[in-house]
Amino acid sequence: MDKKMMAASTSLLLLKLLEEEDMYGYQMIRELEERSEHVFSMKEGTMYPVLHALEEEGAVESYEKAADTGRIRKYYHLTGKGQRLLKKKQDEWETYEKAVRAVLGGGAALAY
Amino acid sequence: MKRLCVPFWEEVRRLLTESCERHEEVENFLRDVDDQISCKIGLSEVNEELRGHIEDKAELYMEYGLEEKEAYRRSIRDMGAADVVGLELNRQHRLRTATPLLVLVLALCVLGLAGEVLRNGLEFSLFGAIWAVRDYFYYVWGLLVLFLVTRFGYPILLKHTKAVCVTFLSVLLFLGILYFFQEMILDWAAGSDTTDISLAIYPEPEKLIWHLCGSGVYAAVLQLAVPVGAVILYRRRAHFVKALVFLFCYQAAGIVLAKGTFFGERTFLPLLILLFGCLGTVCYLLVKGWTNAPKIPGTAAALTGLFVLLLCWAVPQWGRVKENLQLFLYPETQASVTSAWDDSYNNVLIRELLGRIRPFGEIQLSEEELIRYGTSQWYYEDGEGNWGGTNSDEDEKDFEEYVEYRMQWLQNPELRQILPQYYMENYRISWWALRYGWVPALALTILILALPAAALWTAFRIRSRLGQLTAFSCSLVFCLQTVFYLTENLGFQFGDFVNLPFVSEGKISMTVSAVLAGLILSVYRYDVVLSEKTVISSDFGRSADRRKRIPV
Repeated sequence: MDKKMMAASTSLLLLKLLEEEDMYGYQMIRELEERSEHVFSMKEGTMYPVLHALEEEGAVESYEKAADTGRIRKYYHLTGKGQRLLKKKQDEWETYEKAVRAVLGGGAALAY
Repeated sequence: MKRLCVPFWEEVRRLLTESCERHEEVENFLRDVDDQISCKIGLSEVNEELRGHIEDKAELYMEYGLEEKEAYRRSIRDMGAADVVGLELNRQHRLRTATPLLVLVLALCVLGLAGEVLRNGLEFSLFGAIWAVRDYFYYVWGLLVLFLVTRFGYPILLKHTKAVCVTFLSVLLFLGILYFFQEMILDWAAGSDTTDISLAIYPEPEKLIWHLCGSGVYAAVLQLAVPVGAVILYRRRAHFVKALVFLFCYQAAGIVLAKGTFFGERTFLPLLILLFGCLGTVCYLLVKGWTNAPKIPGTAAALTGLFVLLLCWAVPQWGRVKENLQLFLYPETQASVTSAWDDSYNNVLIRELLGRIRPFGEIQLSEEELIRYGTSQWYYEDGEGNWGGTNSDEDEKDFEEYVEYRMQWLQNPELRQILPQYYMENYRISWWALRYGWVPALALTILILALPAAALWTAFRIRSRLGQLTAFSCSLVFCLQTVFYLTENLGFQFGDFVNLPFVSEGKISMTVSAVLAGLILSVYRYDVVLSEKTVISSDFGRSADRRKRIPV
């Protein structure tokens, strides 16, 4: 998949994952790959700047939790602000998707 | 036996070598990431997260049957180019400046300094400059404190939370001992049996004790008590009831301290700032859901506690509290006949004059009106020059003497001469309204209100819970101070004057305001790079560049 397209939707995808449960970075990557059947495969290190930006924005919060192996993992949790941001991004994405489909399908442009 | 041992040790050596290489490869990746991040504070947490990810992914590869070394190599490869990751992280991992708050603090300092200079005048000579530096040095001091607290405040608070709280509580205890035994301590220090301390001339140690027992120090300590209380509450949040009871005891200590001072109503507003500041902090903690207590019962408990504390404070001195409530609502019932300098009269005068202000320019008063206001005759006499105060002949005589005394200063009456003694400090907004019109006064009010607004705005943008609660509590102190100050300027005064942050009343006020604002700025500054769990000592202020790259 085109990297630019992936980058544009990363925060939306991460927020969506966190809406379901609190996750740590590696877990999110795995989930993304599995659910998208390996279409969403990104350079994994580049996810952390996106997560940190969301955290700075107040959309997610982090906390540490020990795994069974004893390894300390940093979990991310979606905040109320994050839920509002997710809703907004989802709406934007749907608008974009409709517009792309309309053009590709050869139909009339959406009336706004 | 020897033959059997050789392959075993060789295998051990091979495994150790591989482990070291794997370790070095991960560390080199992390070091390359770090190299791209300009802010070196708190990098250990970023490294830990990336290292955990690499190890998790390597374990997955090993489950698929890859050798450990290869698994780690692939895991690092999947992370992407270290410099790209580092550059991306560099955009997020940085120190921040709360520019609006900082600009407002500086603007208010300039405003306060300009007001002082305008009031006292400035002599353009070498000695004038020296005197000016001496007189206004506390602004420089305030800015120095602001810088130091901004630079070191939050890291120190994070690293030494317990020590900071214990130190502050020790200071409270020390002051308590000093307040209650000050006469005894002063006598002991002076080496005499002087009991009338107000008449004694004190050498240096006694001056210091006298100064520490002053209302300024009391107000300062109680204002700082709000953020310290917030930190204690947050640290004990898992046991909310215990934390709340502790906080009530903590506030009760403020009430007990007030009993030990000489200053009566001067302790009222600092105490109310402590009580309402702590209440606001508790409610914020509950609303945010950062504690195990349910919101409504928790808030009810906090309000009940406040009510009990207010009773404990007001009942033993009900006469004085009632008098001050009257002063607040009906100052005319309290206005002194013998001194037109008192606060009740000031409130009456302000309410009278504010009704006559114009949008722009000085209030229009004839010379006769200026004299009548300047001598207080407008209030104590009717239009015919007859005594309109109480029927006491003694009061009337005192007043006549006062008018005579005042008249010597009112040969060429000006607005400045008819206003109360502290107009330029405690009534700065009223002064602007009377001198320049209500539009400039409104602009000044907006500027003054902008400080707590900017402080709250900054606090709400902080992600760390401890940091946010601390900054919020500091902002609450500014909010309460500003509200009390504004009501005073409209002629509604309760207790004594409250200082306006960065504008009025000297070194202690400036120091406390600088500490509070500095704490907010400091939390905001380090919020992204330092978290509550970050071990600061390992990397705070130390450059990661000093570490050498390990060749693989």
